[in-house]
Amino acid sequence: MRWLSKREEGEKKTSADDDAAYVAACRKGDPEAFAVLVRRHSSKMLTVACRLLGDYDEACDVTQEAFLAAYRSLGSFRADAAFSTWLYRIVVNCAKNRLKKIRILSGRESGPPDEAEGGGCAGLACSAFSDANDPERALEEREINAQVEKCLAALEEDQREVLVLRDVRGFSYGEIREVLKIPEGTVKSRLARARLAMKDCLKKAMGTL
Amino acid sequence: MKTCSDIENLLPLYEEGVLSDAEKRLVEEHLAHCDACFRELADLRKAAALVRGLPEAALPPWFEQKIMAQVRREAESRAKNWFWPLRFKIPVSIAATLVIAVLAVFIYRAGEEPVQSVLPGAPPPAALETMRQTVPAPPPESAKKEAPAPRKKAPALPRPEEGSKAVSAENLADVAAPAAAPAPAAIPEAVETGKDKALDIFSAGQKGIGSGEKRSEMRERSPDRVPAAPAAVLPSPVRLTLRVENPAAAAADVEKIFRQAGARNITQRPGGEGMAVSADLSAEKWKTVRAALGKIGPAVESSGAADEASGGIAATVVLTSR
Repeated sequence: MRWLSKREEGEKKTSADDDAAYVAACRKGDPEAFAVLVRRHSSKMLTVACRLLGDYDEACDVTQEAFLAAYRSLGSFRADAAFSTWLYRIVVNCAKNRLKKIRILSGRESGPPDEAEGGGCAGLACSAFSDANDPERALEEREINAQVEKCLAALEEDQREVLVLRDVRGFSYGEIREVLKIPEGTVKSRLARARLAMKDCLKKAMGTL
Repeated sequence: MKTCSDIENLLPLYEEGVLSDAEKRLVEEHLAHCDACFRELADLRKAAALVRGLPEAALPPWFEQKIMAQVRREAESRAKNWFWPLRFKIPVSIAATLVIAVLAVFIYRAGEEPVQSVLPGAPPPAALETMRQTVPAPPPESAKKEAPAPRKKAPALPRPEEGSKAVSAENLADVAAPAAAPAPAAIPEAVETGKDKALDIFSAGQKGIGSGEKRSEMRERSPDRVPAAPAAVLPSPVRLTLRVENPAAAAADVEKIFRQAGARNITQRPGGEGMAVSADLSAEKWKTVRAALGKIGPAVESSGAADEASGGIAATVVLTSR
């Protein structure tokens, strides 16, 4: 089984090098260099926010907020970490704050907004699986994805963070440790519990996997 | 033999290769004979595939534009704001405190400098008294005529433009002393004029230290001191009337006697029924002169406390034929 599937290592390295140049340009006062960084990372950031929040509109809002926070804090960014890792940390923190706010407003204990409350991330936003040649299959995929999102949303917040970063975004354990600022042992234990919970939830919802 | 629950938490991480060798061996040994756990592993694999199969969220069309619009606005305001780099590092209250502290130190130092420059060089009150006392003043009758004469002494003072050193109290006292010697005779009427001259001289000297005006103002605020001082050194007026046969000829003799005695400001003028000869001299010399005058003619009248005078004497000898 291959758990990492979405990012190529070489591509990641090149991107990190390029990011440093654009970050330096931003620091020198060229705001247009930041547009490149936004273009390069916005989709991945929005996806993470969407998986963490379970609501597309909230995710868009939080991602924008995170980009602006990153722009304002570029002076404090140290080049010893990749720009994307630093940006992910900001997105995760913004998403956690937003979840906290939502929970307070809705009076709920934990978890992202219900699909009924929010729009989920599959509807408007997810276009990759739309298969015009086989609408039946496309519909089936959409249903499966909605179910997966539902189970993801049902996870505890700390488990969901680790699962999204590892299985959705393909982060290494070290990167997760950097983004979440938790020990690697904690990453492993949370990830194991998250996968088991996810498997149980999907099995329960779909019968067989 | 480990049970299913023992390896339950290891199973989700088994295929990632992050388990230790011991943990990995435990899982493998258990999986070799436990079909349930083997199926669990397969389900975990399928669940992970479903999670990975979630598509990336599509960006709304306005996403980048919205962020960049805000970024450009902020960049523009940063460019306009010179204090942008300090915006978080120095809160306004701390910045204001610093500015006030710096201003306070600046103002304190600016005020301290002139005060220090005045204090060390400023003459003490005694020197001021000396200055007033030593003002060159003409004798009463010839005050108008000879008024410019004492002024000529003024250049003897070290003027700022002549000497690079500032005039101190000691300098003023030393310089003023010689000016006092040749002009011991003065009258109260001349005091006011002399006072003004002294002020002028003093101010001229003080300009060298940049505070002459202030000192003059200080002195002008206490004018009650000024008239009292000169009275102590005014020459005592002495008047002697001699009866002679020829007053005009006798006046020449009297003048001669005065000259021999070293008297100053010797003047002859017609007075009463004869001539009058006036001169300034010391009390000791007056005794000699008095004795010499007795040879010219008998004294018919004498006034003034010449014997009690310890300083200068303004002597007037009237020569009459009656």
